[in-house]
Amino acid sequence: MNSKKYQYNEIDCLEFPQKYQMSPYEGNNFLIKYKKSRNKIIEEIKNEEIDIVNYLEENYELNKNEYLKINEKKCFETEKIFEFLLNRILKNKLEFKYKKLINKFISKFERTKKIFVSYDYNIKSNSSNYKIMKNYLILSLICIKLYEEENNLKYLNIALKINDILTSNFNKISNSIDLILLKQSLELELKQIEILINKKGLKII
Amino acid sequence: MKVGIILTTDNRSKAYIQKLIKNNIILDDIILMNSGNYGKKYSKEIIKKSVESGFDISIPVVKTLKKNNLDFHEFDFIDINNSKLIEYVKNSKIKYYLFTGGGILKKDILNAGPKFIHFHPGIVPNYRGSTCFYYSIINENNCGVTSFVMDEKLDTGDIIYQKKFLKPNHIYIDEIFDPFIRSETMIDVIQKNLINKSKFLKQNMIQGETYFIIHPVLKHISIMNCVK
Repeated sequence: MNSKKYQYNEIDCLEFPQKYQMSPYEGNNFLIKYKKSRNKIIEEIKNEEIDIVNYLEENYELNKNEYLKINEKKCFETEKIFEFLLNRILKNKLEFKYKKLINKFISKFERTKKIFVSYDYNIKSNSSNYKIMKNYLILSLICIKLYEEENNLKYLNIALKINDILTSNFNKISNSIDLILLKQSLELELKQIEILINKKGLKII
Repeated sequence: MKVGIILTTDNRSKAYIQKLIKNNIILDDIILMNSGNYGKKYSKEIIKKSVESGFDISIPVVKTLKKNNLDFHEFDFIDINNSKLIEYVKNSKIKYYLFTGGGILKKDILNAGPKFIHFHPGIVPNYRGSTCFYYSIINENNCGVTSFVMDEKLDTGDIIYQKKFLKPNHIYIDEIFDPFIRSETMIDVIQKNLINKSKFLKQNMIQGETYFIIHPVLKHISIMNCVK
């Protein structure tokens, strides 16, 4: 039976991960529900903006040092590594090794539907904490930016899943920067979905 | 070279066995993994579309086997890694089993003796992983199937054959189009005698893309692209 609301973020997707297997086809109405759900969250976030490039630049050296820990076979903090990787993407300095690392995180996320606070150099989690929203926010932005650059649907697909997690946990996001990042991520996601719908010549009524 | 098939109760298996019979293809061994769950009932429209695609989705696999007096070995589980199944295939004289589903093959079954042939709904190496046809329909307005010999990694085995298909003109992709394209490819592989020829191609392991289960938003865009 078709749900009246967009059903993939109605319950906490971190506690009860969505599997997305054999999801039903509901036609045009589903995309309308999806857009409505995303826009509702966007409207609830104050109309503030931050320059992500400047924001990431502030901690660049610190984050870069965290990245270097991988080569030293040490454990690292996920948030710093993600900020470093997003910085590289936004500055058009994404080297092959960085992209390889992003793809490893994506595979990991797809299997567990969780992002842990820290990992070892083999990208094995060494923390039980997976509830820091910032990690999901930055990975979502990384994926959307990569999709913008490469048009590889793999990245848009992951961003949609991460944003389901984030919007299902919207009431737990209180930090003002996190909220602005969420707004940006949702707006970019919606923009790319709109572009894709238009590119395929589809009309959402 | 002896070839068998391992069936389950799913729609893919329905398409495989019905098309083998229609094409008068007799395999050397038929295994049915049957949990006793014959799935849901389908609407007249889906049944009609499946018949147009060469199989009847409303007929359970076991019924097709019995109706056609085919000998088969039945297990009361659906698990490709079950020790009883492993023991059975170890003692069989089959060189290749056509795989239809039942989980990801682990070491024990892969090393049991026979090799397993998969019909993956994506043209590898560009479309490895899950629900590839949806991605391919968005990217290229078509999709394809790769037949390969299964190994321990995901969709990396030696290629037997690849076939492309136009996007469908209906919305029943999981239920009908997926079994349709896989079963059509299976018939080609057997009729062209490609398993016996054993001229398999190594995959390019450096290139390619692996996809994960498609998000419902992209799935809708893909299906709407089929019926626009």
